[in-house]
Amino acid sequence: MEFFRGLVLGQYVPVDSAIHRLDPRTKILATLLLLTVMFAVREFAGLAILTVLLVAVALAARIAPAYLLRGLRPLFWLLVFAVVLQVFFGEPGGHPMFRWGPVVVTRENLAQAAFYGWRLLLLVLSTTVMTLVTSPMEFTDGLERLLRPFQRVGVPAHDLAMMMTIALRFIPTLLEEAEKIMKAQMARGAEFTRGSLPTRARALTPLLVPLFVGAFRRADALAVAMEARCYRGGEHRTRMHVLRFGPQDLVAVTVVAAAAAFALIPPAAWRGH
Amino acid sequence: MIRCEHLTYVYGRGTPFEATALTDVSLAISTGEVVGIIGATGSGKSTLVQHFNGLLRPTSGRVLLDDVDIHGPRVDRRRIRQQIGLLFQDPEQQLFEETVVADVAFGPRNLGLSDDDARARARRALELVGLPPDRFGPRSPFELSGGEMRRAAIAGVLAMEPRMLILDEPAAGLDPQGRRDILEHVRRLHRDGALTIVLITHSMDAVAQLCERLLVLDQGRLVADGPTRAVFADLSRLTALGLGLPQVTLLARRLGERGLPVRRDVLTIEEARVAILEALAVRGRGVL
Amino acid sequence: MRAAPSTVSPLITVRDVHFVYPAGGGVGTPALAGLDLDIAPGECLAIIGGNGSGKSTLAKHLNALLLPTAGEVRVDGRDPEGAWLARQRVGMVFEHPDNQIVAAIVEEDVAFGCENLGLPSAEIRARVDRALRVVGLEQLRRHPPHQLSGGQKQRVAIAGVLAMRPRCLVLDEATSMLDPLGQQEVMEIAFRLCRDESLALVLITHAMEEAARADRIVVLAQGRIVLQGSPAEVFAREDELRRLRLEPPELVRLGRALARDGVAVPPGALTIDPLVEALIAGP
Repeated sequence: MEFFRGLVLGQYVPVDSAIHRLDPRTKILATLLLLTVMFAVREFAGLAILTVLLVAVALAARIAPAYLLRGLRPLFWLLVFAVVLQVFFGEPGGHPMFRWGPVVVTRENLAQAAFYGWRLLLLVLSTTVMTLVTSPMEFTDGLERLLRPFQRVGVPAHDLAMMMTIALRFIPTLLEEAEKIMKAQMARGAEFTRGSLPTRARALTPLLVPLFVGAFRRADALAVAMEARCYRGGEHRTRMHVLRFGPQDLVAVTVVAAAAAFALIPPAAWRGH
Repeated sequence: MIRCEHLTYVYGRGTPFEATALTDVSLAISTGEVVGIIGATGSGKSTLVQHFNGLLRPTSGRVLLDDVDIHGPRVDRRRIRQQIGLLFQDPEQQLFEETVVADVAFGPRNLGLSDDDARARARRALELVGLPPDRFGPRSPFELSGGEMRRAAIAGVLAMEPRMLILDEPAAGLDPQGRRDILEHVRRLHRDGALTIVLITHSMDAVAQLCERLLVLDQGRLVADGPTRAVFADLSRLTALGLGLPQVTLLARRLGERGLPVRRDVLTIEEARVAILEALAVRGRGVL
Repeated sequence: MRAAPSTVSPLITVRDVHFVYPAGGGVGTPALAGLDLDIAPGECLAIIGGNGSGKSTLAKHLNALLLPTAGEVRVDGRDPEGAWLARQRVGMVFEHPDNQIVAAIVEEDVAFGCENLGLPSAEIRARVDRALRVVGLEQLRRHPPHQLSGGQKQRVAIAGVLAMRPRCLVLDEATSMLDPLGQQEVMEIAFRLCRDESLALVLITHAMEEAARADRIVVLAQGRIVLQGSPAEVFAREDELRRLRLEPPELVRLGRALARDGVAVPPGALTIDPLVEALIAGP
């Protein structure tokens, strides 16, 4: 998959580790908890604790750090943009460090920029780690179970999970197809990477039309194939895999919860100890 | 015409999915040849031909068109792609325009031709694949039958007026008549249009009928390169690579092993018929 | 060759079935135009015909994926309206390996049909394990399907059907996208299941060599059966087949050419083994 080889987010890497073996519900809840805490944290110390936790999880899951960093690469410009925005257009006032025409860069704004940048990095890192250690199937299973109690209030837990399963199953297939069509059109002299923005947008028609036609054809075929195997929605359906919440899950949840609590304690309270 | 020198290609570099697709492949294809490329799925056939028109860039080694490195400085990629026409498997997937003629004209338009010139070329190309432009040109490509769509897609590359045409499984999924039609058109393009043809296929019967020379790939390496007859004569090697033999060649082999002295390098029904009749006559005389 | 299907009560009966695809606006062209067919338990039937002859439309009637516009289809003597029973009894593998695998892990996909049947977890586990063993894919049970070869993907699809314990397996051009090795893998498994587990096999195919191995061949054109009989009978009608966009397999054509030259080739020598024997034994 030549054009998409930078893509790491959403790529499950099948390795056997204690982290991989956890119940998907544990992984989903832990990630949700971490994401919430990241938004609540106000101090660098909190971010540092969360970073240590994530790195520890990644190491325990035997993910190569280089691979993880590669996954962050597409994010680089977004990060630069967010930081620049904060530095130049942050809160007025504070201690000016240097001045460039009408623009004043203050120490406060620089710190704030570093904080937001770091947080953005952690947000992406934590979701990336989760997708790397949770197979898409486990993820949807876990999500379906977690949502099941809400079925009574009208949340279509099964349909959502099935939609996700299929989306996840077909992402690699559609990416391959997109690449193939792109190359086929390039073989007919099409250019996707040159010219002004409107030119490039127009140049996408020969890619998008066949891709949509193909996707609809696939969707049709898949619907027929599912019906042929007696699929009629979530009712009466059982599952081969029954999820089990074990002692190791309890340990994992406790560790994450503890780290989250520490991250939220303001440094002043630390000094008080 | 095309020459590959020590071509190696590695994809997914630096990811857990890194793999070597081609290893040290050197070959040359001359103008006017009909060359078949065979090999099991994943042996690198498709990766190899994508180097011929510069869609892929070798990790190491060179690809030369008329002795010029196609990734050299001041080489126009479009000119390479115009000269080396490449059709992927299931090429009907690339159709996107509202009419067949507009779709076929897509390539020529990309080459900078005027609308009129592009359409004129499109009409000629449709003629070549047996889709009369007056009848098929104004129709939507999505209304055509499977075989017609396939031929329209081939026309889309022919309209670029390439010197070489590379086809990946052009007859897959068609009924026997559809297969015969496509192969007959390819044969005619070579004979009348003087096109150099490269055919990737799993159908040993198709390469036996069409190709003068075969390249055999196995796990990214070129393991055989020679006249079709000679390559098929090397049976043990082909079966070890997960490839078959043309049915009639296999039959001749089996008869030979059972003591009937049939020539082993037959490729067509007619050759097999003659060879078996000769062998039976020899045996008949031996008995008398 | 098996006994004539009339001696046992048929597994599937198709009676005077007509089918018209609903067309946007105008009246659609009939895809099936009055078709009768019996499929016996455990028989191997090949359905051949040119592109657009109605083969796949017929296949989709065998397990109620399509319901006839007129006429009736019965599976196991029952009218499969409501579809459920028919789909458990008649399993289907389609042409494109990629468009029928639902799950992102092999064994999860094999379990999909059983899960829809509402079986208990342990029962599904046992059936999935057995089905994977039968198609020889135990090693790949935890793999994502997109890393598999075409032949392996089709074996996954067969395993998914087998786990539902059907009585008939329909292969709808299931080998047309595969390389020779993949074709062989899939056909060997299908013929073995037909022979050893008395699963009826319906092969819808453009590959004449595959059809030559069936007990019986039915030839479709324009939604009707235009020719049927043993492979030897059907392939003897070369001119007629060519008019229908078909042709006998290469070896059959060779055998017939030799027979015309006076070599003793019996009409039943359709595949390589009997042909070799005939030529070795011949005068």
